[in-house]
Amino acid sequence: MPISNEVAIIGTGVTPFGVHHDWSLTDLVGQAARAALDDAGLAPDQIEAAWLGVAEPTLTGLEGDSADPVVEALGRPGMPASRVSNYCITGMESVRHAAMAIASGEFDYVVAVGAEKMRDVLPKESLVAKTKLQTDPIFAKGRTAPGQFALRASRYLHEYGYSPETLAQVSVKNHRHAMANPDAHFRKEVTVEEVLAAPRIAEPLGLLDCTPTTDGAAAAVLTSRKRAESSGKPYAVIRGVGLATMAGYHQIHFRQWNDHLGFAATREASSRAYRQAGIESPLEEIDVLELHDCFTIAELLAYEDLGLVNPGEGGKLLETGETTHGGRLPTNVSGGLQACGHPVGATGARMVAEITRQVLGQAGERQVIGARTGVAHTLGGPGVHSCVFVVGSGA
Amino acid sequence: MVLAASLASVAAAIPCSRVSIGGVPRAVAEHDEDALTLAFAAALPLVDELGARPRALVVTSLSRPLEEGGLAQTLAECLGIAGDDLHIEEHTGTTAAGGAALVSAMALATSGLAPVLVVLTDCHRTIDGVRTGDGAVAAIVESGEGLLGKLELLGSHVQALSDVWRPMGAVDATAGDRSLTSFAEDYGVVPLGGQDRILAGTTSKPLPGIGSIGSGEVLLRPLLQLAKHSADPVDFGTRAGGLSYMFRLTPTDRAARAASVVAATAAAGVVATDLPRSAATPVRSYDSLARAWRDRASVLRLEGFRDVATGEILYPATDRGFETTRKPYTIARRGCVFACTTDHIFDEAPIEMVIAEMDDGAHFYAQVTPGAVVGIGDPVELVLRRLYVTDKGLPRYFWKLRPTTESMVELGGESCR
Repeated sequence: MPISNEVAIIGTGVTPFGVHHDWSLTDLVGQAARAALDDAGLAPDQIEAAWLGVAEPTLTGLEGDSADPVVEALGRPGMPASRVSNYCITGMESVRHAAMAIASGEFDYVVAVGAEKMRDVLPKESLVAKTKLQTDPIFAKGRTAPGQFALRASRYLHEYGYSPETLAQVSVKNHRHAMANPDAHFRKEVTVEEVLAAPRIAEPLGLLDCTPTTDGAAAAVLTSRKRAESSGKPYAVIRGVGLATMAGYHQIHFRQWNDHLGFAATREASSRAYRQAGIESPLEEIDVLELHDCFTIAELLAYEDLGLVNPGEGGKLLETGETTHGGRLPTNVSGGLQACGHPVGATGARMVAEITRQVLGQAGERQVIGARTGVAHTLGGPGVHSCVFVVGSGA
Repeated sequence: MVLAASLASVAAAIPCSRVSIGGVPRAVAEHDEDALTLAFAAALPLVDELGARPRALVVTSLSRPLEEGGLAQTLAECLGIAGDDLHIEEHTGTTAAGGAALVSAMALATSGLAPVLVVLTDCHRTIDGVRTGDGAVAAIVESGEGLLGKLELLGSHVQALSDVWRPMGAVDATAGDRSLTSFAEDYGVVPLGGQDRILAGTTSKPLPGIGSIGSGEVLLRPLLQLAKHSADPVDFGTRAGGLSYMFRLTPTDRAARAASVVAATAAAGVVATDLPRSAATPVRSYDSLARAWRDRASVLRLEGFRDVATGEILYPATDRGFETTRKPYTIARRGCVFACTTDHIFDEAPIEMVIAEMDDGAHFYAQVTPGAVVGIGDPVELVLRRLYVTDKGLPRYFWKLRPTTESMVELGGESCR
């Protein structure tokens, strides 16, 4: 059977995101997975298989280089478990793989976990160091994550006449949203002036345009829609899921089709997910959106790539307040990557958990009233991959 | 029998920065330049102009990036002229090796291996810890009539053991170290029109505004002279370490123009107060000699592929399995800035990164050359630079983007930022 409308999410768990020197990767995995099982009302021995998304096991002495932390944390020796990794969409990939397993009919209950332990070292010793030490010996020299998105920002501002103030408003909005999320890494409002005055990272992006370096994990328990229905408990259903991979990590910067004004991967992935979900007018039909705001420019580009507005209108959509909580399409009400942080392997799973809670009316203080359909979007590498989930209330 | 060949074309790559060292302004290369990158910059316009592969490559350097050699091999790869049918020689030792390289090139050309590309290059060379000056000169040597003039070997000589190699600036010449001005007389050469012979060697004065660029001086000095006195034959030579070579160039009418381009390139310096230094944190990169060899086409030769059906340029190359639908393609070296950023993450200094849209539509993602600042729409060109040297001593080269000004385009050769 297909995933669309046939696979249900019946439990979610998210650890606090932040700097957790007292928790190992396996600790984080265990917290998220057990919370998701509790939410689903299942015991560990009812889970038949697991997927773990970890993107950077080299940061933790190769803990998480396979899915064994899930088995260890749940005390389930013998359970089949696989690790997935796909740059920054890794966490969402763990959910997608788990959904495929349910759709295949091979298993009745599975758990998908995304986790990353990035702060056993200083931020500069984390992914930044990877730029210098572990990457392509030639094509990557001088390449950093903010640097790659800054190139997009420079082109976007040049092409459409926006200023860095527009970018700063993304950070302001998402930090404000995080005030209602007890699990966010940073729960502190910032102003446009503070964002613009922050240390420069890669022009035109400053420190407060960038996601922090963070530890965290998130999990989801999946089963078939029929099994979820028969349980009589609230559940969400995956209405559509799209994954697109465009080119090699370094090659993508050299591709002629790359207009550097957005991400073709997002356009492809969202198109597939919308088609499965029957969504034709995203701005009208989506109630709540979690998107990949690793850098402020990424949110503006995602507005356009996800089909909410036309090219060049992303900045205007933000400035009208339509994407603020209470607006037409509340976006990143969790605080997004800007305030929650971005434990790479965890982020996508956290987003799916957030949207699931929103469509089930379980998001607490940050609940978007009446949300029935939500979208979660991740972007991997410099736009190499994108994954988009459309999640709806199963009731 | 007199050895004679012809000079078909010449070019020079003289770094832009001029720093006063020992009271003498000297051309000094950036931290990411070396003897290979300068050699490439000097030779590329000649190879492009030639329109065909030279039959032989003769390279001289006293400051090769790899102590055990390999300069000529890598240069051949970069220039896209490598192959089993290319004769390659690499000379070193003293500055006199520049003369030896010319002799060898002439001999090869007249024996049927023409055209010969001869490249004389030095960078970061020091004597007693003092930078002498950096630069490269390249020439195409052919048999028969050459566009720029006739080149003759007047003589070569090895001196008695009493000769010494005298450090730059030394005044305590020992017995037997005869002056360069008396050197020509050893050959009984009759002065032409009373002109001084143009001699490069360990005791010659630094070139005004440039310094002592090493092995390339044997050609650079007569070219600078030719730019001033276009019609006159020029006698020139080099001597060091007891070895000496003496030549005569009888120029054609076109030689003055070529020499003036070289002279303009040499004169286009920018005064700086400090020696260029690395702006970025040294990297301990992922390091594989096998990979460097495997990637050399796309890394050193800018080779990618072009999709036969769509015309799309695919670089870096990913060709395996697409032989019928993708054809090898070398991307354009000039274009305009499409997007840019100043990345502050690296500790010592920011790095400018650019995506450029090249003249053929290809996109290229690279660092900007040290010290340069660019904006969207600015014209830029690709230049070969050394990114870093691995722990195993392997230099890794790649392309950086440098602003292109109209005056540089007019010069048609190596240019200053």
